[in-house]
Amino acid sequence: MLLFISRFSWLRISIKEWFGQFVRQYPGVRDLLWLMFLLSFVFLFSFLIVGSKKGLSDKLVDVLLGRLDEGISIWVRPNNYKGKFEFSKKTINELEKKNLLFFSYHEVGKTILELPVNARKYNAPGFKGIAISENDPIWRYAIHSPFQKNHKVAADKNKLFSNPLELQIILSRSMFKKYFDVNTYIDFLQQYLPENIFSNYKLSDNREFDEQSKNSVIWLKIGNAGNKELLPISVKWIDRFPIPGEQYWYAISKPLYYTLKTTKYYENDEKDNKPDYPLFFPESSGKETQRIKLITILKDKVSSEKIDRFKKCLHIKKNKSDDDIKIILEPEQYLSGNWIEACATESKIVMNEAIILSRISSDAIVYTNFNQIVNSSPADLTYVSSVTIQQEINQKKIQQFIQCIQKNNQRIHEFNHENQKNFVFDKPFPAKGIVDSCVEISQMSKDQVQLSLLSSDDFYFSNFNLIIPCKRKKRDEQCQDGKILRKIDKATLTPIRAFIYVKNRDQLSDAIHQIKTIDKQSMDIVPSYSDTLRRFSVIILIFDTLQWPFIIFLVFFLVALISFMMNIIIGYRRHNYGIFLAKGIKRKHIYFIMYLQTTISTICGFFLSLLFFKGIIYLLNYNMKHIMEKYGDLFYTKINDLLLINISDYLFILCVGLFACWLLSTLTLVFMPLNNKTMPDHLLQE
Amino acid sequence: MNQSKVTVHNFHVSRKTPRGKFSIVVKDLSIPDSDNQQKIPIVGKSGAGKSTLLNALAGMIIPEKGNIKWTLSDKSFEFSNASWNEQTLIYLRRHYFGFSFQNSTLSKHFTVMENLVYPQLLAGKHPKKAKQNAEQKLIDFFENENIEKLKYRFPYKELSGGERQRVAIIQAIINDPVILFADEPTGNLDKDTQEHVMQLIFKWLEEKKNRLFIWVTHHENDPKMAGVEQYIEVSKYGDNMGTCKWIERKGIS
Repeated sequence: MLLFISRFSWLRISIKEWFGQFVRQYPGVRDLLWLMFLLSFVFLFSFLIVGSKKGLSDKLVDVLLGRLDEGISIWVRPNNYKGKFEFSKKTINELEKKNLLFFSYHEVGKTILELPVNARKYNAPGFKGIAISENDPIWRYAIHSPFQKNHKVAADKNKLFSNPLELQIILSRSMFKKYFDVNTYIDFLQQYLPENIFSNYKLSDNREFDEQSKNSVIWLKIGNAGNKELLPISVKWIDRFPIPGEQYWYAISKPLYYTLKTTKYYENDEKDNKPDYPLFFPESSGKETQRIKLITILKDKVSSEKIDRFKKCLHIKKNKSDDDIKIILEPEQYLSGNWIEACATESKIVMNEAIILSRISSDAIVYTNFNQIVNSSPADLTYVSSVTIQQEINQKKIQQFIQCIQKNNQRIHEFNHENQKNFVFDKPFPAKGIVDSCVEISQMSKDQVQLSLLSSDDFYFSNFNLIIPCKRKKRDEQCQDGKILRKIDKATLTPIRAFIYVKNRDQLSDAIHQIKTIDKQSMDIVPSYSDTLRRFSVIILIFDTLQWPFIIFLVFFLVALISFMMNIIIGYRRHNYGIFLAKGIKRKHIYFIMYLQTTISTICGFFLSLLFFKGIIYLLNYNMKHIMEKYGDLFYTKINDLLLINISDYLFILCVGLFACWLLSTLTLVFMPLNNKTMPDHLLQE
Repeated sequence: MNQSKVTVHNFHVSRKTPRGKFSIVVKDLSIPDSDNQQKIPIVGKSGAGKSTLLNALAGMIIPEKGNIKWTLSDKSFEFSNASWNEQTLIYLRRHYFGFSFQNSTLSKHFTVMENLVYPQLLAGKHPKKAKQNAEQKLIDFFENENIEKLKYRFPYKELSGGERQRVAIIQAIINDPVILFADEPTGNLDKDTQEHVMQLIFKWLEEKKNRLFIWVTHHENDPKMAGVEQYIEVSKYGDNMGTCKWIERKGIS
C-alpha cells in the first residue's frame, strides 16, 4: 500500500496542481487553465470545419437529392432503352439482396383528385400527386414528422392503415403553404357545405395557413365512376416529398388509387348497364354504405320557401320532376344522410318524424326509417330488388303492388306496377320482376320527404386484387364463398417511377453503380435526378478540395498554439521540477505529471468546446428554422442541424488533440532538457 | 552505528553559471572532519563556489572526476562518474537527504500542507500519518501561531519570508533526514528571524542523533552562532575554479 502511494504520488501531485488552479488564492498564472481554454478554441475550430462540411453536404443532399428516415432517395425508372417498361420482380429481388429499399409510385392527376375550387395561387404547378404503397417510408415520415408532433395532430403511430382503402392523404406542407389560397378554399367551403358540416370542419376564424393546416381534414373532389365527389379526406402533413425537381401536392395509397382508377373505367357508361363493377363510395373504405340519390318532397307538407332553401343548400338548380303532389330532387353528387339532414336542419324541414325513405342501391330499393339509415349498419336493412310502390298520399289511394311468391323453396316477391306517376324511381323498372326480399307495408307512412338511397358494395382490396360481392360477377369469373377476386389490370398496376433509399451519403455512389448494373441494366436513374447527382458530386469534390487548406492551417495552428503554451507551462515549472527531482521524484514521473495535466486540460477543453459548439448549433438552428420554414420543400426537416458531426468525428478530434499535446509536451520536456543526464541542480539554476 | 559522513576524493565537479562554466576541485574532503560534529557550515566569498560544492555533496551534480561516498548510519554509498546510479540517488533523496535551497524548495502551486505532505508520500508514508506529522512539525516550528489558517496558505503569496523559510526547513526535515543540506537557509531574512530559524534547525539537530547539517552561509557569524570548531571555506582560484578546505575557527572560547 505504502509502496503504491509512493509510486503514484506523482498522480496526486499532478491532480492537486491542476485542480488547485480553481482555488481563489492560487498564485501565479493559471497556465493549465489557459491551455484548456486555448485547446477548447482549437477543438471548436475543428468541430466547425468538420461539422460545417458535413452539414453543408447533408443539406445539399436534402436540397438536391431528397431524403427520408430510410435514407437518401435515388429516383429510378425502368430502362426504356433496354426495352424495359416495368420494374420486374427479379430486379426488385436483386435490390433487396443488396439491402437497397425499393418503393415504386404512380403519378396521380386531376381525374382522381382535384381541389374543390381553383384555390391555387398564381404560378402554382398543377394539382398532382403520387400514389404510394402502404408501407412506403413517406407514410411513416408523415406520421412521425416533426410537424405532426409540434401541432399535436392526432396520428396513430403504431398503425398506418386500418384499411388500405381508407380515405387518407398526405399533403405537402411546403407546396400548400406556397401555392394554396386558403381564403378561396374556405370561402368556397363556407358557401358550399351545409352550415353544420362547415362548422364541424372549421377550426378557427384565423385564416393563416399555419392555423388552418392544423386541420386534420381537407375537402377535395374525388374522381369516382365519372363523378367528381366533394369529400372530406383525413390529412397527414409532410413537409415535402423527397422528389427533387418535381412538385407534388399530395400522396394517396396505391389501393385507393387502383380502386378509383378502376371505377373510372366505366365513368362514361351507365352504371346500371355495368352491373358487374362494384359501386364504391370512398368515404366508407369499401364497406357497404348508402348515399341519397333522389329526394321526394311532398308539397303540402313543406313550404316552397323551405324547399327553395333546401335546394340551395343542396346546390340543386333544377327539379328532376315536379307535379301537384311532390317535387323530386336529384343532387349533383349522391350525398350522405348527414349532409341531407344538415340541409334539412338549415332549411327547417323536420327529418326525424318517422320519415319513410326509399333507399335505392344500384339495383335495389329499400324502405326504412331515416334514423335507421343514419344510425344502423347496412346489414340491418332490408333490401328489395326493383319494386313499385303505391301508397296513400294526400288522401289519394295509392296501391301497393308487392306480391310474395315461393320459388325453389325460397320466399321471393313478385311485383308489377301499372301506375308509376306517384312514385319515385331512379331508373326504369321492368313491368315484371323478381325481388329478393319483401318490405312490410306497415313500415310505410305518409311524410314530408322521401329519399331514394344508393347503396355501395361491400368489397376490399387485397394483394393487387379487388375482392367484390358475387352479385358483380362477370361471365368468366368464379364466385367463391360469396366473393369474386378481380385482378386490377396490369396497365393500372405498372408504376412509372420508384425510389431506392440508401442509408447515408457514403453509400450513394456504390448504390448508384449497383442500380445501373442490376439485372442487365434493367433500371435507370431518372435523367433529371442523374443530372442533379452529377452537380452534387462536383460540389462535394470542390468541398473536399477546399477542406485541405483549412485542415493544414488547423494543424499548424494546433501545433503552434500547443508548443507556445507548453513552453510557457513547462518553463514556468522548471524550478518546480528541479525541486521535485531533489525530493526524489523520478524523471519519468515528471513526464507523467505533465501528461496527466495536459490530458486533463485537453479533455476539459474538449468538453468546454462541446458546450460552445452545442451553443453555436442551437443558435444556427434557430436561424436555420426560418430558412427551413421558407424553403421547407427543399429540406429534410427532421434534421435541421447545419453543423453535423458524429461521435466518431468527436473522438477522432479528441485523439488528435491528445496526441498533439502529449507529443509536444514530450518534446518540450526533452528540450528543456529533462533527460537521463538532467540533475536537479540543472533545473534549479535560474 | 557509524558516524554519518560525506567523503570526496580527487573530486571535480562543474556547473554552468551565467558567467560560464565553474569547477570545484577537491583533493580530499571528509565531512565531518572530527567525530560528533553535526553542524558543518560552508563559508566563502560570493561566487567562490559554495553552492556548487553543496550541490555536489548532495549528489545533485554528477562529478566529472573522482568519488563521493555517503556513509549513512550503517549503510554507505559510493559513486564516481562511471558508477553513478540515479535510482539509488532517488532512494537517498527520499529517505536520507533533506534539502533547503537559497531560493526555496517549496512548490508555488501547493499550499503549505501539500508541500509538507508530498515528500512524505514519496518516502512511502501513509497520507493520514503524513498529514499528522506535518501538522505536528508546524506546531513545533510555529508555536503560538494559527496553524489551521497557515496550512492552507500558498507559500509565495500568503506567507512572509520568515514563515516561508520556516516551512522550507520543515519540508527539508519532514522525513527526518540523516543529512540536511541547506543553501543559505536564512539568506533573505532579518537578523532576528535568521537566528530564530537557525535555532529551530539546531534544536531539531540536538533531538536527533547521528545527523549532519551542512549549510552554505555568507554570514561570517554563523559558525560562531552554531558553536562549531571547524568550518569549510570555499575559495576561488583563477576565473572559474574553486576549492575548499577545513578551517579552524579562531578565538574559540
